[in-house]
Amino acid sequence: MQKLADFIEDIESVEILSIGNSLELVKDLGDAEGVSEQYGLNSFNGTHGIGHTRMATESDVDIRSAHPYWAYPFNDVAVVHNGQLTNYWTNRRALERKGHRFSSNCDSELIAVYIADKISEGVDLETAMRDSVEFLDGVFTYLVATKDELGMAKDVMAAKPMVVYEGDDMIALASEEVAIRKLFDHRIDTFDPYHGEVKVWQH
Amino acid sequence: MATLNKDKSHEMGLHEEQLKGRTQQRFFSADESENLTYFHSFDVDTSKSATIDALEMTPREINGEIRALMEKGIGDITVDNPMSRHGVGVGILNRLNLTFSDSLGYFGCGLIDGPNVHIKGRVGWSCAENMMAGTVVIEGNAGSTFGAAIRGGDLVCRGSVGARTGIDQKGGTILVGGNTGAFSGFMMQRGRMIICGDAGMNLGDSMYDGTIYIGGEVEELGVDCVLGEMTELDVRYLTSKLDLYGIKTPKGVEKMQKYVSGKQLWNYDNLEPHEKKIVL
Repeated sequence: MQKLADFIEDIESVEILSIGNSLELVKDLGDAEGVSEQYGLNSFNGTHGIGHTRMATESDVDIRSAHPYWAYPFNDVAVVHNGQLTNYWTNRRALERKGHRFSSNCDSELIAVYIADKISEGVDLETAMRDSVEFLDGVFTYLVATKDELGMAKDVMAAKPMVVYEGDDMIALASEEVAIRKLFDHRIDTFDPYHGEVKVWQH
Repeated sequence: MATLNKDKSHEMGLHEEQLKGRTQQRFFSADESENLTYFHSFDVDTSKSATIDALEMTPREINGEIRALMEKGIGDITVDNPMSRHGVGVGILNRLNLTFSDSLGYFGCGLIDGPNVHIKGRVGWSCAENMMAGTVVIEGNAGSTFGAAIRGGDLVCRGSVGARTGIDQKGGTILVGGNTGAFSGFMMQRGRMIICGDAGMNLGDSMYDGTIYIGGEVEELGVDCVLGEMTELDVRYLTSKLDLYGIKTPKGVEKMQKYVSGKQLWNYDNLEPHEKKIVL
């Protein structure tokens, strides 16, 4: 699979946005409603999903720099991230020396590659995410989706917002409660995870 | 007209001189007190009630409607279906009984001076930031920077709150029934913070003054924060404050720990604003 992916990636102006069996990545320019209508997201069926609207600060406004990030060439790892990683280049070079390939200059991609690298070494998702809190420097909250797991992690300064709702039949996470409140016709109890906190839910 | 006791006010750190140049700063003069007015501050009657259904309203429309009702003299307002919207209930500068029947988003009830607010849900980041007076009571949890830079009043959360609670707090009381996150009391300058549960790392980091009471465990103290000595006065104060809002600490008030600043600052007074008025 990697040989095929490398071959396609090396063709000028051609780029692979994702490869996988279980996750489908949709990335485009525009507001959330527009992209959702364009790709018919309401017709998607599945157990879990993550999404992100990006305000570009460090890399260009293009599809390549849009979230979710996958970890080339690993299957079925997707990441959305709010924050800024200050040790991006150092760790990117370290991962590139291990043979990994980055498709953008966006710091968020580092998380996806790091998590996928750990998983490929046999580390479970929760442990990989706990390690990432020490590995990554800067301020961040991020979500990871794999084939059957959904995880969240928050930096040790707790500098970026994250609201969690844990119901009997649904887990919902967002930067602010207003983003998930419309899913419910009643008041919901939510909480802010604390510094360095990692949570993983399994389907 | 109030008479200024210059000797006593100087002794307590107040000034009347005016600086010159680009950084000129004008200090409050008691002689001008009758000229100080609040725009959009209304005389309201708390026996007059009204309800707003905010389901389809923007935050600006909700705030505008609250102001319009206060302008009509209505002093008891309930907002239904706020739907966790941001920046709602802000800039209220008079007495008012205000109830939100559900959660608010970030910067809810900021910049207020006087109202009694009851929120029957959760609040997002920076609830009641820069609050001057009044009470805000939250039934659920709260996000980070809860009560950022508040100067007065009582800010109460019956649940747990996020990181940096009371950052830059300059007065008033923050009361939390549950736990608080990292860096609570960061750069605190005055006032009191009561946390009935646990506190995250770097409690009271770089605090100038003020008092933090913790009922549970402290993960780690921040720079300049030290353990203080609980006095009978502290116990009486805590008992009174907790009883006022019907909140209990798991181990009892006598077992709470008191934390204060470990450094002495020059040219700094620790009086509450209302205490400063006593010397005028």
